[in-house]
Amino acid sequence: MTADLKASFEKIKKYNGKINALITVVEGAQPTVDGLLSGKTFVLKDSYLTKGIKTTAASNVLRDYVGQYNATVYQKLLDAGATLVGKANMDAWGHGATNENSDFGPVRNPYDLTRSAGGSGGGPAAAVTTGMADFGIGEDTGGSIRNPAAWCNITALKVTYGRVSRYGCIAYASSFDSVGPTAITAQDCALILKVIAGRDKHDATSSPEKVDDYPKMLGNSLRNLRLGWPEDLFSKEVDPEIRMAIEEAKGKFEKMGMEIIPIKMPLLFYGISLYYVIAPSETSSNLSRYDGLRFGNDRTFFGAEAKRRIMMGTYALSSGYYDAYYKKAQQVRTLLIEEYKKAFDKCDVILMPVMPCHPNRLGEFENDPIKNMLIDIYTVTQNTAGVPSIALPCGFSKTGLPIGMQVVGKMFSEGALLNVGYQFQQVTNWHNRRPKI
Amino acid sequence: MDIKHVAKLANLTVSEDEVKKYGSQLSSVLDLVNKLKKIDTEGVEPTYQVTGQENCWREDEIDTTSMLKLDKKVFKIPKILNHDG
Amino acid sequence: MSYYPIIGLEVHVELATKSGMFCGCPADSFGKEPNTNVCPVCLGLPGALPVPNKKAIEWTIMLGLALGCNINELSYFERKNYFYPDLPKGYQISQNVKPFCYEGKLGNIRINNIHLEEDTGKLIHQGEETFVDFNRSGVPLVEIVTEPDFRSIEEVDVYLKKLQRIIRYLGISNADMEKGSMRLEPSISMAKIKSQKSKVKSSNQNSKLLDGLDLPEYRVELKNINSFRFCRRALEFEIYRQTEMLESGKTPTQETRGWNEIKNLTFPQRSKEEAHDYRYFPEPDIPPIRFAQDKIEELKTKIGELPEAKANRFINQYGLTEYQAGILTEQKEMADYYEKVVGEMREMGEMRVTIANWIINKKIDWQKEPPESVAKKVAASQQTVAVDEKELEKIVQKVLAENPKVLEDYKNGKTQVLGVLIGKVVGISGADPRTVKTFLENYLPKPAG
Repeated sequence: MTADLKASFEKIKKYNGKINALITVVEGAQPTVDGLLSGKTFVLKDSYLTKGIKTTAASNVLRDYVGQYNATVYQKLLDAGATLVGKANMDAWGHGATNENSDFGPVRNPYDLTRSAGGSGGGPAAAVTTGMADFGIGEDTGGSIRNPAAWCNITALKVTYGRVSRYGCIAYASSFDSVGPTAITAQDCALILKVIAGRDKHDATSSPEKVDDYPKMLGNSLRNLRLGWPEDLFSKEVDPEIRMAIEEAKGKFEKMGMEIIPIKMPLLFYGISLYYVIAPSETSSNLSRYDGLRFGNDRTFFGAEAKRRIMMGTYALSSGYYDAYYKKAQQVRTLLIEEYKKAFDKCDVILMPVMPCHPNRLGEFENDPIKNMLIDIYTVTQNTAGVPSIALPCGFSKTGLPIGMQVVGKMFSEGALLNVGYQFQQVTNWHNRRPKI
Repeated sequence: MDIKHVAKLANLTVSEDEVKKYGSQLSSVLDLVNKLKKIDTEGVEPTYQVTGQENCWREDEIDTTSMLKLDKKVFKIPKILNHDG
Repeated sequence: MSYYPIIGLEVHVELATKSGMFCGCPADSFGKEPNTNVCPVCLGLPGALPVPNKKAIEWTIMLGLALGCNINELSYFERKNYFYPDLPKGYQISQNVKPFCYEGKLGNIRINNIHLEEDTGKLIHQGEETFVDFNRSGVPLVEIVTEPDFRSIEEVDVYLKKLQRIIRYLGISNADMEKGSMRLEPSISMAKIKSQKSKVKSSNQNSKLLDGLDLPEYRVELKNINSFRFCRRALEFEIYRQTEMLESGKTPTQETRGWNEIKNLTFPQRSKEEAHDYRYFPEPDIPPIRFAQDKIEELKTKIGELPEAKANRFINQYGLTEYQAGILTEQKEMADYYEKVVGEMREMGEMRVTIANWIINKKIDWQKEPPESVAKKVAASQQTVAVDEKELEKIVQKVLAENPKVLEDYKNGKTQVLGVLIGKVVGISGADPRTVKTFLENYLPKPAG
């Protein structure tokens, strides 16, 4: 961990105006307790409820809404001695892959201010990579924590569904949403996960699975661990520089003793179609509570993307269409889960790209929301199946734009994934190259 | 997609412009989504959630720790017609 | 042309759990200021999540078992999506495809399903303005849905009273219409007599053989009914209104109508140009519920004796009439009290009828006076007369001739019916019950077993 409270606020003052990573800066030093994260600073994606502090989900509907209770993950971090320094910008309601759907302005990529920082959690990623905070808590529904990590050159963990409590996290797609840490290194993420993971009586979907001592699981050799390599994923859709960087990483893994196993996962290509039925369906219902009566502003304050997703979801669930869309998608989901299971019979972890392209220029997808949707292509299936995945920096384009990769594991294999990340970061230095703003 | 009907179901207001714009955009989304038709799902059970858990419940006990002391306790709503007849 | 009512009933019952259906707020907010009995979950705040109340689920299943339902081994909650100011999340967590209980029966009325859901907030009208109080939001609500099997208002009345009694016996709710812990929503159509039996499929009724009746093409739902009396009146009004329309060649509109108790009429409530599209889908925040056979058996043992079984037992065991047994078993507490008093008078079985009458006719206040004291009073009240053996024998022979089944039962080993015989003999002779008992025990043939 690299920053302390004073340093955090200095960086926030210096950079936030340029990159717009934070919607709310939480001023002043706060009294902290002794704990595993004493002295560490963090930001929360602005979808986490914080009592007494604005929680906006980056939407005008909640523009001035002050949280009335603490999200469980927030409380756990406070109890571990960490200090909240800001509520981070995001695509409103989690809807987006470039953080351009925020009602508070887009987040600019610290490595190139004319480009996107990724989404929907562009804010936490940009904040961490510029040193505004030691770590961030993001939320991943279809790539929202991994995409920005890849484009901002940091590490992020999409946890197993149910590993971390969702209580107090503004819901996007209830059966996909995963609460997870993002930081410079895998080692950082391991410590944070140890603090935040575990069963919560307020979340019926949170897992009773024992919480491993993740930091202690780092350092084991990767020798003979089987690395699945889904060759067919690298269709012509992937930028050649990205492909090259990931192939290079694969080479490093091989050198460390991992066995490369070619695998095929044809259903992965249907992930996007599946995702854009289920996620909007669940979100259309989750966003019904925003009527301006008990809190916030009324539904006329929703942005275009939110409206589109609500309508898509409402349609997919409506009478006459439910079977063809929602039910069909959930059936394909079963097949996709099977496909992952079969793949994990052959290998222990799977190496995949995170983004098919480099950070887009801001505004590039403005009139083409479909293009914006399609860049989620490699990150939606893990949420569908509930499996964990770690995003790791693995290179740069020749113009200095970060490239990330992800290593996907079986459910509750966070320890193994963090170790793979840790070992990779022992023999590479990509994750230490900070942006020159 | 009948945008006006769906918007009504979803309690959203959409302008005529938006009806046109969203109509064409959502039509593209449906094209993307309709690819699912290619997959044979005969006899496949849908998966609605991936926890694999059952009976995640709580004992019948009062818990006052989560209760709220609201600043605003009065919620006025627009007049409901026909409640008296 | 004759028209017959086709009535179905949806009854909502608020369960008397301590806490909410999906949160730990107290379920009872009686006397509390509006919006003070709330938490993020029942207020529908961003980020809140539901966690189901185990007891509410168990009680729902117990009710299902008491009503002869099948219990789904695997069931789950679903979201019922619609917008209304008293519904904080914009959806109600309820059940649809897999309710906890299905296909039961009460009397000759089939029960389609019994499912569990959460209550909404309450609208409060003050003059021109309307407010919402969310204190009630999230209270567990059981819904009992019948098939449209009622053919008369009398049947509805009988069903409601039986249902209410069973619910109170189970101790799961006080099922009080005045307090709002029991609510009714009848739905009614009128059907014509047809010349031959017909089996018709319809979207608004279950496809069921309707005993030679023409299936109606519409259905009217009635809301805002606060008592059994108003239920009767509202149905009477509807039968009249619908029959009139049908007889003049018009079809009543499919709609929801409210009951106006002051004007004594029903009026159209929500104009339904289209039916609600609730877009039900399984609740992703709550994993499914599994009740295997052994768990269901466990719950069965917790049910205890139900009113009808108890009444029948009282008739057979204590020699009471159907009327007496009915009154005594109206409330479980009164029935238990009666049995306590009888227990105090073990030796003197013949007093059972007397005790029953004293309680029913309010000669003693059963809710205040302890059973032992009542037992003593009853005993003291009997004046005995010395009767000679020959007289006694004549009376006994008369009683035995008039009660052949009781004699059969006794001979077959059901010795408890001796009390019935003692009672009758004492009633005629005025003799000391102990004497009569001894005489009968010697006189009667030895019972089997």
